[in-house]
Amino acid sequence: MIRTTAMLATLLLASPALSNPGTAPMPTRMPSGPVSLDAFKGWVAVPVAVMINGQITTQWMLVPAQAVAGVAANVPTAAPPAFEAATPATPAGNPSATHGRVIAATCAACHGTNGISHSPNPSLAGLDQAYFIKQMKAFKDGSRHATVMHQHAKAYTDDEIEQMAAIFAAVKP
Amino acid sequence: MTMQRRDFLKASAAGLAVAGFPLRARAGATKAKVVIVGAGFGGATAAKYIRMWDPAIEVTLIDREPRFVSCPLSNLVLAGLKTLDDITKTYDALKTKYGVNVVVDSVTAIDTDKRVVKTENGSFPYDRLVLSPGIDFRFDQIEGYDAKAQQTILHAWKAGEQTLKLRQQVESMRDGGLIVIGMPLAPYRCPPGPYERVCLIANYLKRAKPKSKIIMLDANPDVASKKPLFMKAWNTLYPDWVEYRPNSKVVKVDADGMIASTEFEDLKADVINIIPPQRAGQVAELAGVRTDSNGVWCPASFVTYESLAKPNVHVIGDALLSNFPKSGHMANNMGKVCANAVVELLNGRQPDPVPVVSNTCYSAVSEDRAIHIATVFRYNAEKNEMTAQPGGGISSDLSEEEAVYAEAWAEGIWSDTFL
Repeated sequence: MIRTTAMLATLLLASPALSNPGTAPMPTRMPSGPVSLDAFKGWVAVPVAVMINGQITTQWMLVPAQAVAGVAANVPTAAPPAFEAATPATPAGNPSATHGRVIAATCAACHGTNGISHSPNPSLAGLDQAYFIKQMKAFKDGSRHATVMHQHAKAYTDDEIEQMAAIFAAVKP
Repeated sequence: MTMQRRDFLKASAAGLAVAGFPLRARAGATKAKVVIVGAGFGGATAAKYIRMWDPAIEVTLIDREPRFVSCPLSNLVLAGLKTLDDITKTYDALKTKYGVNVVVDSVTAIDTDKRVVKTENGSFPYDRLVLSPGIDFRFDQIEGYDAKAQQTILHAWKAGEQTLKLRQQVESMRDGGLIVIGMPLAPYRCPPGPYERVCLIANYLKRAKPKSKIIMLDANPDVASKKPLFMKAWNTLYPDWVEYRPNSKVVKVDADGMIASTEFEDLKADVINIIPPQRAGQVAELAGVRTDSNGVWCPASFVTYESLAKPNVHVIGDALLSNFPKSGHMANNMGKVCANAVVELLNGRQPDPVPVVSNTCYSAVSEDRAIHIATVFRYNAEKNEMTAQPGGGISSDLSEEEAVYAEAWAEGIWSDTFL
């Protein structure tokens, strides 16, 4: 699991979007002497949940402040981006920021938490976004036969279906 | 939003829950504490999702029962088609996988000023309290339904020991016997449940005691849920085994003589099963949130489920005053909306202002056929109500296909709540 954290740090470092002129390079090892806070300028420590032997514990991880601002605004969820690229980023503090995970959670009662099914119902985790959207629209207009899904699909707007599609697509099945 | 950031977010999703953003300083700060009372579909779901969405919050889940016995599917136990083991779930994953502090104890007092829940063996301070206390029975609404009568005239409306006892009563009844089932005026827990029970006990009688019969005494003026489908089941599958009587509220029972009385008639039976009128569980009263005009249900916000009577106390599940069907599926969905609200509020953010909850409720009508009803509710801020969305409805027919889905539904909701 420590390896996972390290992998994520590597991904962060490798991501060009996350570097900007105001962000110092991430400190790569703990200094032995007195620490200059400047070394951490532009980086913040955020708690991340890490599962070790089935127990969730909280570890601190250094990430660029810029990335955290983006995460806090868009994806305060265990799973994944709530918004598609075409959707403008939600400003921090926007109360609708969590609407995506709340509507996606309505699916979970039958399709499993985060869309990972533990029942004969199909998993939604990892489904291609376009496929998910197409199926939901087919349930809506009746072109795909259903016993129950048409009754659910009709209740969600196209925008909400796109949000759900993005959320489930980003979950590793 | 750039591709790269999306990639980062996807990477963060792969096995890691990024949460607890530094809007509040965490280093050295005391962890926010949430106490949840009632570990059914509402409370257990809320506990799991709060921990999932913000592992920095400490969650204590209190229930007097060490294990969960599912009301959904418990009517199948009455028909001998399932065992109690099949519908019993543990809290193990909540403890080990999500780090929920599960406490098996009875709540004795709730001090909403000092924000402390007291149990027989402990004391639990909270920043926010979530109550999912389910229902209690109002035995006093039926004359003669005292503690002694409750030993022989069962409700079996909380799954567990009563389910097994009623099964035994039905199983040991003579062939040619009469079973009377009485049900209360709406609202009560599980709107289609009493009608499903009639179907499934009739299913057993048809197989094992074909000369026997059920009379259902319904306090409501008509079948209160999935009417055309239940009527079809009774008329086609159980014409000789079920007699349905609307506008027939049971007002009195005589346990010694095994007599159930409405305002119009006395019925002598071999087995009497009374589902009594209900109200929010006693824990709600301890917190002072059972505050509707009759002191029966708990009014709360549909955005946060915070009680309208007590700040920092949230109420979900059957105990809520609402237009929702009192179902496990609704409680599970409310658990998530409430979890989201609690997480956002404790982090100084606003919760989702327009939450959506959905209901899907299957009823078995025989050993191999089932039916369902599905509704999605969306918050309407102007009217301050949860509006049933267009498109919801019931099955087109009794079907074998839906019997398969009914089982899958149960596995699905048990996993979303407890695994």
